[in-house]
Amino acid sequence: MIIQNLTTIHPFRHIEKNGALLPPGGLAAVLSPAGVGKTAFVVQVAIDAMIRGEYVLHVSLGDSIDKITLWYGELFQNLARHHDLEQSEDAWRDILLRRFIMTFKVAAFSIPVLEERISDFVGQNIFKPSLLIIDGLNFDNNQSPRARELKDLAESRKLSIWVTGNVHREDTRDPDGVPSPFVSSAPFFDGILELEPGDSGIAVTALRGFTVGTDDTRLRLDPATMLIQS
Amino acid sequence: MAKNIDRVRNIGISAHIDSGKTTLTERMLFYTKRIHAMHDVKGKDGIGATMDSMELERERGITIASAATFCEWDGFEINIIDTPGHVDFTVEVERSLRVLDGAVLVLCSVGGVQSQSITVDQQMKRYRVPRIAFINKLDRSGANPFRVIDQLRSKLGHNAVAMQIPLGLESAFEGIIDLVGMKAIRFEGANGENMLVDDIPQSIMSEVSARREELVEAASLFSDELTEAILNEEYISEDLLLAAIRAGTLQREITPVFMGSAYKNKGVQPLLNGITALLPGPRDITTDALDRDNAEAPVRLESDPEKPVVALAFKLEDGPYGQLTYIRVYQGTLAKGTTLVNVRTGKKFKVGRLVRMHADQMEDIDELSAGYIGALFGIDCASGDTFTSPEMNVSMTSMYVPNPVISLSITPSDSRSQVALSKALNRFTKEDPTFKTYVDEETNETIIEGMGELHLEVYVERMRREYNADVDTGPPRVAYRETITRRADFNYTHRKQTGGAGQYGRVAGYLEPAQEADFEFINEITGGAIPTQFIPACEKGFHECLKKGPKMEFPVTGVRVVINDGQSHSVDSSEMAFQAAARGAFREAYVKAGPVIHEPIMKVVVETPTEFQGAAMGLLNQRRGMIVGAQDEGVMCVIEAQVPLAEMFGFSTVLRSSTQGQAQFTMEFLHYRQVPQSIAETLAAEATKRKKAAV
Repeated sequence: MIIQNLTTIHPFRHIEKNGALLPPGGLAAVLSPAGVGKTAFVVQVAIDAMIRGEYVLHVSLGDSIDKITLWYGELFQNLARHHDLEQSEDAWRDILLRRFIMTFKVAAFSIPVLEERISDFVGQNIFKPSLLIIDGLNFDNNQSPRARELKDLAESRKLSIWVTGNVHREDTRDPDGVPSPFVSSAPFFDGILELEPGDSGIAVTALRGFTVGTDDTRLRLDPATMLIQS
Repeated sequence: MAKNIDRVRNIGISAHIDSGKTTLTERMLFYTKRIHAMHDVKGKDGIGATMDSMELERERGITIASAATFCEWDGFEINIIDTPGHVDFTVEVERSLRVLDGAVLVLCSVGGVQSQSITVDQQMKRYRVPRIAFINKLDRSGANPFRVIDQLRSKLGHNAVAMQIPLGLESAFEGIIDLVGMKAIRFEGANGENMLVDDIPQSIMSEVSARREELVEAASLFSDELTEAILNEEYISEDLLLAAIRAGTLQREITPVFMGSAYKNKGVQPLLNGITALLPGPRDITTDALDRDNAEAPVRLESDPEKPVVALAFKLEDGPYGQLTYIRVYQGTLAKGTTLVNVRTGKKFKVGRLVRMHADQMEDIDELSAGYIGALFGIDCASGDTFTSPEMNVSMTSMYVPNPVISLSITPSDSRSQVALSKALNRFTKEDPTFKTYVDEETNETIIEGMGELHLEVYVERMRREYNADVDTGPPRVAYRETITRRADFNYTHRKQTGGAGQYGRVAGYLEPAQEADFEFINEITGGAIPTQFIPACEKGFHECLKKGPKMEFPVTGVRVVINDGQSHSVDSSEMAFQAAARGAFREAYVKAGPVIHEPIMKVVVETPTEFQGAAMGLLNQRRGMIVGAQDEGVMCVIEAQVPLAEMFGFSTVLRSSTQGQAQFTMEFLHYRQVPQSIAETLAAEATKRKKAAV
């Protein structure tokens, strides 16, 4: 298979609305307990976008650049193997040009600092992202001001933003199933997905915004390769 | 000579440039009474520190060559290998690391863990060298040893624990608190030679207790006895604690941190105690050699002085008395008059003069046994050679040597310099495997090749100073390569009939890309279409074409040639005819095989204050760089990028000027990658111009 075909058969296409997983200006979250696969999920959102020609800024709080590079390399290789991709190395080299990783110490991170960095390299024409991934942000204790800042950033820069968030077993849920720490932030999000380990891999359920489809197109993560499948 | 191998320490002192490593070494030699006066690297007295034996190093304040020096402390024999601090000399660093049992990682308490420290640390990890850290320059303003300890943990992944804490800081820095012995140590006397041991001031007792608790807790993982003592709330003896820390250090699970200021003569003696108490001796380390009689299967060497000799030549130096070869003995005892074999050449030789080095002075010795480092006189060998007893046939693992990525032409200005130049080149290529030289057949120029701009610059300087060779250099050239991207067939007949014996040969087959090898030749001819005696001539013909690609005149790599048909003539065919036919065939197929140019891509890591992050990224971006990422660390920021070497000339100057001198960068070879179309066209135009100029 050649790489362009990969995007047309990607499971993400089942849950898209108007040809986009998340429109520019949109804000979405992936929630799960620690260690289930949030990073694997958002990295695949990024890889899918990169293949389709979008520029991705991956912001990680706490992890090193090397570790994130590994995540990308590993998941792309699994994907290439799974679909028998031709000349995957060349393709990978090309699409890598559309990725930019930034890491921050958790304490030093704030949305205004990030916005300053973005305007810095957009201004200099170094990199102009259309998708922003923020991995490792803390949403405990109802961070609704932070969610508002994120939504504003998405709209002012025409970015689609994906964030990851930790949920805890003891969290209570609202009627939609949104865990208590996110309830006050939820209105700012256009979509919220949750990952849950189950018998047939890790199930992806929609708590808000998205429709994850009928039973035969329902998304799940294969626990062996961490690839998103339906 | 005493021979208690458990009281031997072969250590390296490795660090970022300017963190004060050479000063520290100098102080260590002073306290061990090897030298009787102290000098500083950029000393006003013009003598310079003892370890920097080369004039050039003195001038630039950097250490290039790794001199091995010997000293004694508290009944221990310590060999110190002074390792270079600049990234362009990493082969020197790596070769030194090979012979070390342990190392001291020197860090500046202001600058902390910088990009160069990371490179050096990674190399040490590769050779699995146990380390202790020394945080230097505590007297400088802005010193913060605990921030450096945090960086050791976060940037280098060390489990760093403080063995000491400072007594006062910056200009008020007086001495250190020893967390093992629970004493305050001050340093007095003109050269800090008197250690005054005192009780810990009550005012800082609570901090001291907290830090000691951290240390004891980290150490307890490596000793059940210690854990038990903690649980039973018993008294923890110094020996018990040190033994646990040592166990952790040897497993490379813990990095004890010492601190002080070498320049102010504070904290050096406790560091020496730490080296002897915590770092491994030769017996604590296992070394494998490769058995050449048994498909290079690894053989464990034993530091037993009675066994057959195995020794490694890790460094050559040209002294006033001829070639000096630094060796480390891994097994057996090497004595004057012993007959040894150089495993690489198979030549036997007899050990003549044997010495132990102290930078520029030497001491004659009669024998050198396993675990020791010394030097031989008058042995013809290259760096990295293994010497063994005649009955052994093992080789120390070959060290990884990268291909050179940059070259420049060098021309002597007169005939006297010509002689000096060839002497110098002969010496340098033996000393440093990454430095290569050859004569370009077409231009008759001497070309030198190496790992970076500075690498070559330093050798050119050394030619001028040490060998008095007056040389001019051409502009640096990047080592481009050509390769093919698809299969192409050839069927070429070489025919010449111009009176006398004619020439006739036909070869047919195809070229295709080969990932693994530079050149592969496969003969698939059946039925004798080309007689067997002409096959080598065909191979030679193809191989010759690789030196210079028909398109851009860069070396061609990654080509597999398969011949499967041909024709010969009973009278007119000759070796020459088939060579010519192969050359013609190659030219014919090469253009059809989609030739492309590859260029060396470097991994560039820029470390800059955050306010210059944008500027630094801009610079990398202008240079066709692909920015992989940026790591924000509060005050400083680390940018990682992949940039073509061709664009990196003069980068250090530009970077410095646009960041007020506050940013620095390291660069190492990453891989070869195809050049973009526009650049390929420029290169092609240059090649055409060169061709025209040559005609």
